[in-house]
Amino acid sequence: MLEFTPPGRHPARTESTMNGCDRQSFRLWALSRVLPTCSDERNPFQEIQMKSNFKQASLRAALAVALAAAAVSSYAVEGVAGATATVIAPIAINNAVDLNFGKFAPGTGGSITVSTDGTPSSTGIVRSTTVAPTAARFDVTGDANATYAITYTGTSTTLSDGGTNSMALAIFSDLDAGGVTSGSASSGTLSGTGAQSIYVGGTLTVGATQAAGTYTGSVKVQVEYN
Amino acid sequence: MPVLRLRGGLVRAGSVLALLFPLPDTVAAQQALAVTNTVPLAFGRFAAGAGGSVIVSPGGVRTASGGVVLLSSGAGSAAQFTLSGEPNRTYAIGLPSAGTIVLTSGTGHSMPVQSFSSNPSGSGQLGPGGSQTIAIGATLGVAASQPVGSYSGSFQVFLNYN
Repeated sequence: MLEFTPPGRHPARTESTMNGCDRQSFRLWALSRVLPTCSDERNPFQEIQMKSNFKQASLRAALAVALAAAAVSSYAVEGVAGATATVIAPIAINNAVDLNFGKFAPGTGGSITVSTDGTPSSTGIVRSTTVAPTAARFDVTGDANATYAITYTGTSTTLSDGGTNSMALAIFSDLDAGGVTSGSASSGTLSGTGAQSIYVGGTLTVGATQAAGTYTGSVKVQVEYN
Repeated sequence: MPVLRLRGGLVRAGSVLALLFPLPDTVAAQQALAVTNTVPLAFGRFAAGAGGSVIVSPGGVRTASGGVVLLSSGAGSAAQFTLSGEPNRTYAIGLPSAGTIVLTSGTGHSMPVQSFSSNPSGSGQLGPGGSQTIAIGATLGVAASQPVGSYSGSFQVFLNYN
């Protein structure tokens, strides 16, 4: 005799355990509180056995429901929030033009000042016009509209000829080449395209017997976002 | 009668059910917890520099470590959620664990979000009106020379009655 078994279904799984009414069916009845409709003939012994099983099945069903209810009562909820961060371009500074006091003879001694727009003025000395003085210019780039702090730590206080001769240097600055000869800019704001320039002028003190030579030093400008 | 005896069994079973079923009724009378996100978590604007981290406290205070430079022009914010549910009921707060949340840029770069913290911390209690606000902060890891750009992501919090 040939038996047909559908794929995935084992014949043993379809066997009834009690007169054609399997335990799974009893659980379903207990849950829905509907009387079983199994109509198989039973003897009283089987009936008692069935009642006992039924109670167990009902209790299991009730417990299962209670546990499920306990799980529902936890009421866990989930909240979701967005999170953002913006990494901006690092701030950078570039020395575009040097501070240059030009050429001069000491004369009676005195000073030469180059304003932030490069205009020279002097007392006591005799200036040469062959080299035009210039104010230093530093170009700052970074995040659009960002503010930043400016410091000048490390700037030379003297210009030296490389030997024993020197001239005292004092600097001043602004952000618009406004031609000032004092004060300094301590903070700036980058433009909408993320740029700004710092202009640095200075005053050099020249002795009456200042030795001839080329004197150099350095102007240091640091910028930092704030 | 066999059938009557079977019914008797059912009635007793039913009384067991009756004893146990009131629980779902009680549960149904509770107000479910509801949560709404009102403020996102924002680490604001900063320059990566040599790398480090950006920390936003639940109080919304932003600090940087390492070479990261914060910009005042882009302040951060702690995330805020508004909870509603049973008045005076306590609840537990579950925050994301380390290594699960990252912010990503449109160009494939990322930064990890770690060390989530909340106020109240661990668990809270709904007010007499049945609501409370939770604030959440975290720490953003920033690599040296982290590529410039806008980074975004999201995170989940889990809230559950105690």
